[in-house]
Amino acid sequence: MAKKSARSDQDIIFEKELLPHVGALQTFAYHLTYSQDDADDLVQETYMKAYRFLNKYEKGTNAKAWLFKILKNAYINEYRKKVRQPIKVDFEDIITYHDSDEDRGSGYSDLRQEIFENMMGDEVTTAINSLPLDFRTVILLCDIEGFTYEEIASIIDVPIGTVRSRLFRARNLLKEKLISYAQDLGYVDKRGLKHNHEKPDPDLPVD
Amino acid sequence: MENFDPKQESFDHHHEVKKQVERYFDRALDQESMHDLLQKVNSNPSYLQIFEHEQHVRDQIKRYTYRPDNSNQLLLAIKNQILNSGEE
Repeated sequence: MAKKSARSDQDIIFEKELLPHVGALQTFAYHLTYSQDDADDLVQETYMKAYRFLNKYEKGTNAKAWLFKILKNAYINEYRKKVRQPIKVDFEDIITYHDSDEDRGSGYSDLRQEIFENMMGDEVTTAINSLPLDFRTVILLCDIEGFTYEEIASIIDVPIGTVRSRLFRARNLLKEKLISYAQDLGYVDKRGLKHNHEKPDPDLPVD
Repeated sequence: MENFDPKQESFDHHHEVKKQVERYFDRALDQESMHDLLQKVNSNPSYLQIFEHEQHVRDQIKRYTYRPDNSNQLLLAIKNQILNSGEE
């Protein structure tokens, strides 16, 4: 009987704290896999794992971040093996974050509002999906899902400095792509600005 | 004494405001800094302009990012799968 009651408590936690994040997980999974079916499989697998290891989850803590971490690990460990993607060197783990990156800002303040005016709706998705996986991941976690730097660092298992560095580079890449799409649609930046992707200053020392 | 360059100072100030606003939307400001920033946004039109611009662009990116719309179906599938796994 006691066992039955414990099981019920777990079911309640699962239903009340974990299941509400299914939509967010589905969006994240879709942008990782580019496929609705694969995304749904990945989310189902994530929930099965979460249910199996529910005893490791502390009630009332950050369920969303916990689920995203499970999903990201499932994707890296299993899905990417299935599609036999070649192993890529993660240059972001080699290039160290510099405070100067932050000094140059990493937001969207230099992106004109007008660039969205002629867009049909799928340009943003196309631009995000064309980013390398590590960059795509931080944009989705930070700008779409609203996770903090600390939460992202925990989800993807990298230091906070790496999160900020990736975010800085990812946003610059995304801005370039959005401006390029907007220009294809007839947008002209009247400020006459050149939109070259900012690169780390080569004069700065690397640790 | 260093030469005072008002243009440079204005640029630096503008840049600093942008950084603060970006960190606000990244939820990277502490409570005090956040409070300070919001007060300035409410009282200074140039702060407000930067703030609203960053907010608008981020909203547009969120709005235009594709989100699958069959999460209810998926939710049912997950519930069924878990129910079945418990019966096994």
